[in-house]
Amino acid sequence: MVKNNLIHREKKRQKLEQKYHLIRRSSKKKEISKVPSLSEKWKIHGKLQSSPRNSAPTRLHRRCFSTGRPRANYRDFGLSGHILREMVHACLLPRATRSSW
Amino acid sequence: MGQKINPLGFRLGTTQSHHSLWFVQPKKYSEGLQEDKKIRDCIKNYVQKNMRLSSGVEGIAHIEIQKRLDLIQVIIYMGFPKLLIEDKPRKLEELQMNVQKELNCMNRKLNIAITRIGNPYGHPNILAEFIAGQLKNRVSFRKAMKKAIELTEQADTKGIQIQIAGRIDGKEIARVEWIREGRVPLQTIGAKIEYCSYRVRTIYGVLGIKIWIFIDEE
Repeated sequence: MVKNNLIHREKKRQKLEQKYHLIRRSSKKKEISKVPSLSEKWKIHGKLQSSPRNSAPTRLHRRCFSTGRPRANYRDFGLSGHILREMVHACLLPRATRSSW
Repeated sequence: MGQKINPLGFRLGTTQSHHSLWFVQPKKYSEGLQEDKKIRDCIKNYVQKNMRLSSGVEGIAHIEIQKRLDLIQVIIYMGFPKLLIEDKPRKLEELQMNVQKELNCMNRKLNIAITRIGNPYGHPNILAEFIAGQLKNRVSFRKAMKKAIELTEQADTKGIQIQIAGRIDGKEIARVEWIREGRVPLQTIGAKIEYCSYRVRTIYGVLGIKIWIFIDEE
């Protein structure tokens, strides 16, 4: 099991990312490309940089939701490989079966 | 060297049915799984807390969860449902309230039902809890295993195999002991086999109990 503070750090990043999501998206796509002069681009880039670092989506790291394992996670299930295998054998994943026998 | 695969997972397509039955768009699959996990943990904790006051063996075999658009149906298969049914129907409602608080969903109704299993000792989870209780009270493991086998013979089973691993009798060197009665055809997919792997925490450490019960053959 992973330390609790690491899991809470991830939750903090998720909250911040949700909060700043629209602001970041708007300044990225439309404004920077539309504005011609370089100094205005610097201004918009400055706005992007002023939002807290933990609101960047690249900082999020997926973890297994049951153990918090940072590696070997599958996006379809949100689980790490070991736990996934245990749960499949315990018949807890709907319609998941073995493909070999 | 051979390693045995979990017989439940081995038979999932054919003789074994899933314990969670629902369909969701693939993007929301993991949220569905998290809900399932919360429900199951909530129920198990509640049962453990309340059962401590009274007798030892609680006996939840498994918890089935079916989800539809507007309804979540939870069926708890129990061996000895006395405490949740006969005493007062309040306890079922308390359970329902607890689980609903955990889930935080107002879109769906939650319905919890309890089914009694005929022949409770024919199910490995309940047997495992029985053996665990005995081992904690420092009964000799051979006696515990033999008593468990006697109990299953009263229920209709065609074969049973019990394996205990760890510091048996508190000895320093851990070992694995197992007995088998009748036949347990693990390689036959058409054979219905119930399996349970259970951990007991004793003062000497953790013992692992594995039970295979052969029920029927198609």
